[in-house]
Amino acid sequence: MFAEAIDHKQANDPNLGRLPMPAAQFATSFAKLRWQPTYSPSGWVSNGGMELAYLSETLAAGSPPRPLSGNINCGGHATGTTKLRYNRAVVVPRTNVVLDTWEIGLGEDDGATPLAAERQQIVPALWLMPSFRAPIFDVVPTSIPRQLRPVNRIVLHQDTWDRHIIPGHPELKGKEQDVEDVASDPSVVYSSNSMITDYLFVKSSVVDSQGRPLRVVVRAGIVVTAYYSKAPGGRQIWP
Amino acid sequence: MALSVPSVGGSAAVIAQFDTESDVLYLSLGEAVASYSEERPNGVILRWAYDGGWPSGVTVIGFRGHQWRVKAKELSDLAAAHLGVNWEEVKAEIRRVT
Repeated sequence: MFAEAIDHKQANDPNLGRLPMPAAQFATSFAKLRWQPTYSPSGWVSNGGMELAYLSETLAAGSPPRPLSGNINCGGHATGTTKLRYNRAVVVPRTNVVLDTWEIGLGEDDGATPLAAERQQIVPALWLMPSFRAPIFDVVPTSIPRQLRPVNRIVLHQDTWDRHIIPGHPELKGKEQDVEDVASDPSVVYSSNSMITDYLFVKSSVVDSQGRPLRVVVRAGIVVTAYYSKAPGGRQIWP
Repeated sequence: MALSVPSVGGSAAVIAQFDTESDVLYLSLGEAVASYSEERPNGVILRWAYDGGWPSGVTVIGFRGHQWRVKAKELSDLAAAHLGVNWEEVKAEIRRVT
């Protein structure tokens, strides 16, 4: 239904450009967005993510999806202030927010500019979306003191998990939470012996049935793979 | 530990997939199965199936970073020895996905 709404909007709104991917694919990607207060999806909406998360948390907890009305103004996009306006948003319980009428404009919202003029600058959301990779989690390794953290944030991308890690390591199916626990609250961090850019995160309580720790490989703040192994496999850098 | 290598269509086939974003190569003997791992030098991780303990696959972290493509024969030999298959089959599969 969302995809149909996108198709309809594409066909009937001359101010919108064309989506660079099929509407159904966009709908799927968009539905996977997990709005978090501290998460800025590729910078294309910053504060908007926070506001939507707030709305989601405030309105969705324990309640059925319901329509919202209003505007969200967001700042921080590299090409200028980004503005996300929604006419009706369905807040799905938990984390997903689906906008079934959506517009993204560029430019300052001074509160006085006529809507018609603002719409001149409207660009389709998807022009800003192709590089977006939905995260499964985006966490701070809080158990490590800030000044000692090898990385400040750790992200696991949905596509990495679905297309590569699970097909290669099916023992991790359903273990996303374990990977997140290790990334956010490691008990030991190793520097990889073989790749100087890689860190191996381990949490002593996250092990397989035979006591092998789950080792999460992090490069530049991104989870590249994970596996169960007993071997140290690196130089301990923390604690 | 009992070793029982699975048969895929009468013979075990090596299947590779490459994560270009993360620079990680996954090789498995047939369809990948739940496995535990042991690390080797240069980003190589050998995998054994939880169920039966047979050599089930090889993960290579930093495939490009370690320049394994130009050392494909060496990597193929290593993986083939672990998986008990022909190195040329492994090499061809690596070439296919990388």
